[in-house]
Amino acid sequence: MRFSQNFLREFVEINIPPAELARRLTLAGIEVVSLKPWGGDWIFEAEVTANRPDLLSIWGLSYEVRAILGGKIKFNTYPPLSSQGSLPIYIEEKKLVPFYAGRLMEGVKVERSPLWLRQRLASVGIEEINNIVDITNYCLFKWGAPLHAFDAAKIKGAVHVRRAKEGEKLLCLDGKERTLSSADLVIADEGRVLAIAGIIGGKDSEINPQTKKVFLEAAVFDPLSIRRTSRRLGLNTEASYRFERQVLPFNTAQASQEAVELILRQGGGRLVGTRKLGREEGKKGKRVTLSLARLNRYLDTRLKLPQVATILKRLGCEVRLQKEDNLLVNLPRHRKDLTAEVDLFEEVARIYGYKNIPIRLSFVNNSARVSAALEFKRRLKRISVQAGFREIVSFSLIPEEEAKKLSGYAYVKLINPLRSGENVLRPQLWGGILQAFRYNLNQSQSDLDFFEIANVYLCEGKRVQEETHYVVASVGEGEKDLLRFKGRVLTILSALGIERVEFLPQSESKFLSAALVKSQELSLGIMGVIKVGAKKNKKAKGFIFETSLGVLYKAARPPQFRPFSYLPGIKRDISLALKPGYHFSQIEPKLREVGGEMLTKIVVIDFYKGSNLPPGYRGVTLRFYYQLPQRTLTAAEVDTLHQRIRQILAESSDIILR
Amino acid sequence: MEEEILKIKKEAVQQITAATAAELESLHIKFLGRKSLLAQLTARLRELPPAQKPLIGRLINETKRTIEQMLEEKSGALAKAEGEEFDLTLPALPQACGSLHPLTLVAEEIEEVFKNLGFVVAEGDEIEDEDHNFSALNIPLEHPSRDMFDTFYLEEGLHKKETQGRLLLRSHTSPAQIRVMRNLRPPLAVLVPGRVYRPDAVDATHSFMFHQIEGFAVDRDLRFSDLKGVLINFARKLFTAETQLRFRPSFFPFTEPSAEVDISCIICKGKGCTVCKGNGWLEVLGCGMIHPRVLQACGIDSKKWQGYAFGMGVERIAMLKFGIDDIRLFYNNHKKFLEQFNAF
Ligand SMILES: [Zn+2]
Repeated sequence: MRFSQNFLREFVEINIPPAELARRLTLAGIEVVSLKPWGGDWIFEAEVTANRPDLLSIWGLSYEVRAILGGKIKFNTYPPLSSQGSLPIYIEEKKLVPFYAGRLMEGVKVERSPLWLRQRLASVGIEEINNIVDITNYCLFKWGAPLHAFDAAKIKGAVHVRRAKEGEKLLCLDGKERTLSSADLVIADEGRVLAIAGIIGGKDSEINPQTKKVFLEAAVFDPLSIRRTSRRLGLNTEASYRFERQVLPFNTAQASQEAVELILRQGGGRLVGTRKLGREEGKKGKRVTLSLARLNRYLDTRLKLPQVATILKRLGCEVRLQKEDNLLVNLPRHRKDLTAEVDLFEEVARIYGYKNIPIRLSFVNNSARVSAALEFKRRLKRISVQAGFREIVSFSLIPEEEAKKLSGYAYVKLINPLRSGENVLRPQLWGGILQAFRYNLNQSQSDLDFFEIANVYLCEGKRVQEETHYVVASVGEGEKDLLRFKGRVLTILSALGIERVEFLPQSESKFLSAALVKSQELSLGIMGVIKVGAKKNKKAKGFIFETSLGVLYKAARPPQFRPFSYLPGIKRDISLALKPGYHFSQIEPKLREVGGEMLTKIVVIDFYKGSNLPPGYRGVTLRFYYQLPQRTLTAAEVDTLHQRIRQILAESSDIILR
Repeated sequence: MEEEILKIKKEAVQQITAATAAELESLHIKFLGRKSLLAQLTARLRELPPAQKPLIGRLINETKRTIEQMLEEKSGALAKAEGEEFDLTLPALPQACGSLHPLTLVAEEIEEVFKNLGFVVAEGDEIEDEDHNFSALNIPLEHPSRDMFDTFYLEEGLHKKETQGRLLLRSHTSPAQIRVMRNLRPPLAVLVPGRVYRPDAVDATHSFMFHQIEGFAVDRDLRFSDLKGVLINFARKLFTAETQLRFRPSFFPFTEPSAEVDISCIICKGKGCTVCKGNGWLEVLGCGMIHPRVLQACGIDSKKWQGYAFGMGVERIAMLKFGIDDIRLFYNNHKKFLEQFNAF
C-alpha cells in the first residue's frame, strides 16, 4: 500500500518526523519498505498483511496511526444511503453481491481534475484520467472501497449483476479482449457485458469527454468469486486486490456518497436516482471479553487496565469495564480480522511494543523422545564423510523423461509444475548424483565422491509412499576404480556393523553392470556402474550404491569388541585372468569351502593388462590370507592348502593362471 | 708395520672418496672384512716385540674407526645425492577428504542450540494433504493468506495411508507440527527440519525446493517472553553474542500474536550496508504464540496449554552465516563449493 503523509495528515494528527513514523509503523506491524520525499510530501510504501484489508485505505491507516501516536481523527461520515427515484438494477447472484448501490447523475461535465485531486492521485501512484474517474480512484484510496463509473448512455435498459455466459467476450479498459467463463461475475445491461465485476470495466462504457450521464456503481462482491476470476484471467487490479481481501458495505456507501458529492461539485450536473440493495453494517461489531489476568499471563506483562483500554479505544474499539479485571470489548466494524480474545492480545502487544515484553529462557519440558532413526542418519553422514565422500543436495523434482528411463519404478507426478523440467517426484536418488557428476566433469573437476540422504517417492497403484534413501557414488573408469569404490562402501557398511556382505550379479538395463548387495539374507540395495555422459570426459563412469535408510538401520549393529589374534598370519598371492563375462562370485564359494576357517580374507592387490592375455580377459592378482586364532600355522600346511586353492582355480576353464 | 698401516689408510681415503653406492659394500669388506689387510696385520701383532705391540695395536684400531666413519659418511652423502632427502618446503600432494553439505552444517548447528534447551528433533513426510498443510493450521482453503503458501499439487486420485483433502508437497514444515501434536500429549518441545516446496521461479534468492526448520513448544505456562528468550538465545549462539533482535508484529494464520524477527546486520553491525539494504536489519525468521484454534484442531485444550512456534529458512541462515550470495550454489554441488566446507 502506497500512501502519502499529506493525504494521511488530512485525517489524523501526526506530530513526528516521517522517518520516525515509518519506524513506529514498522514496529507496530505495518512494515514500511520505502520512504521517499516527493514535492513537499513524503511517500510511504508499506507491506500490508493479508489479514488487514482495512489498511488498504487512508481511513484504516488513520486508526492505526492514532493507536500508535495517540492523536485525533478527523473524518466526516455520511448517514446511510437510501434509494431515490427509479433505477432498474437486478442482482441475479445475491449471495455473491451482499451490497450494491447504483447512482445516476445527469448533466455532468467531463474534464481534467483540479490540482489538489491530481496531486493526491499522483502521490499514491495513480495516473490521472478525467475528473470522474479520478474521483472514483480518490475515494478508493481514501475509503478502501472500489467504485466504478459507467457512461450511462451506453447502458441499454436495466443493469444486471449476473454470471457470464460461457465464452462471452469483453473488450476491457486496458484495451485487451477477455473471454469469460460461466463462473465469472459480470455487470451487464439488457444485451451485453459492461464490466467484469470487481476487477475491470469495459472499454465501450468508459467515461469519455462526451459523457453526460454517469452511472456510479458502489458494491461489495464475494472475495472468493473475485479471487477465482482474477486468478483465472491473470488480472490483478487495485479493485480486485481489495475485493479479494474483503470490502465493507459501510466504506462502500461512504465512498459512493463522497464520490457523488465531489462529482457534482467538480463536474456539475445532478443526481437523478439512487438504488441501494443490501445494508450497511451497524457501527458496533462483535463483542469479546478480555481478561487482564489472561492477557498478562499470555504475554508475561504487567499491564494495567487503563493502559489496555486506551490502546483498544484508539484502535476503534468500544470498551466497558466488567466485573473484576475483565473488559467487554466491542470490536470496530472495520476490523473483521479480530474475532477472539487472543486477537486482542496481539493488538495490545503490538501497540504496547513487542520490545517491551520481557525475555525468559528456561529448559523445556518434553514428552517427545529422541528418534533413534534420526540419530542413525546423522551417524551415517559422518561415516560417509570419514570414508571420503562429500554430501550433496539435489532436487527432489525431476523431468518425466528421466523418470521414464528408470523402468521398473512407478512415479508420482505433479499437476501444477513450474516447468516440465521438474514435474515428477523422483523414485530414486542416484539420478541427482549423476547430474552432479556430469556438471562437475564438464566444469573440469576430478576426484568426485558424493553421497546424499533424501526421500524418494513411490507409487503402488494409487497409493503414494515416500521413504528415505542413501546413495553413495564415485566417478572412475576401470574395474580397479570400481573395486576401490566397493572397498570404501564395505568400509562404510562395516562401520555400521554390517558384515558378511555379498554381491550377487544382477542384470539391470540402465546399468552397464550391477549387483544386488546382500548381508545375511537381507537385501541392502543395488550397486551399479553407469556411463556418466559428460561432454568433457566420455570415458567416465559412475559407480553407485543406493539403499533405503530403513534397511540399513535394520541391518546395522552397534560396535562390538571381538578378540583378535596376535599370531602372525601367512599370505600367498595368485595372479590370474578372468574370461569376459565370468564373475569371480561363480568360483568364490568353492574357494571359501576349501579354505575353511584358515582362509581369513581374499583381497585384490594388483591389476594387469597385456598382450599376453586373450582379448577381453581381465588380469588380477589376488592375495590370500591364512591364519588360525589358536596357533601359528606352519609354512608347509599353508602351502598344502594354497596349492588346493590354486588347483580349483586352475581347473576352471574360465580362468587362466599365471 | 707402521708404514704399511699408513699406506692402507691413504689407499682407503682415496678409494672411498671416489666410490659409488654399489662399491661401498665391497670396500667395506676390503678394508674392514675378516680377510682385509688390517685384519692380517692384527694377526701379525704377536710377531712384534712387546714394546711396539700397544702402539701398533692402537694405530690399527684408530685406522679401522676412521675407515668405518668415512664409509658411513660416504654412504649418507650418496643417499642424499640419490634423493633420499626430505624437503618439507616442496608443495604438498593433494589429499582427498569428505565433507558435509553446508546446509547440513547449519541445520545441525541450529538443532544443537535447541537440543541444549531440551528440544527433540523429529521429521515429517514431504507429501502431505490439505488438512495438515492448511486447514489444521487455520489457513482457509481459498483466501489471500494462502498466497504466501503457493503449493505444488500431486496428480488427482492418489492417496496416502490416511488422506484428508488433496495431496501436495508440503509448502512448509508446519504439517509435521500438527502430526506431532496429534500423536503426542504435551508438554512438547520439537524441532522439525526438512525440505519444503513452493512454485517459485529459481533465481539468486529463490528456489522451488528449500529447507526449513520449524520449532514449537507446548506447556502449561509458556508465554510470549519464552518465545523471545529461545530466539534471542538461538541468534546469539548461531551468530555472535552481540547480535540484537527486533520482533516485528506480522501475520501468520497459525500464530497469534505473530512476529517476524530481524537480527542486527552481521555484516555492518547495524550501520547499514548492501546486504541489509541499508536499514541495519536482516529478516531471519517468523514466529508467534500457537493459535488456540491450531491447538484445538490437534485435540489440545487451549485453556490449559499454551505454546509458541517459529520457523526459518536454512538456506537464508547459511547464506548470511557463510556470506553466500546465490542460493543456486547449494543445489549445483560444484566441488569447488563443497570443498570450502571441509573445515566444519
Ligand atoms: Zn548491513
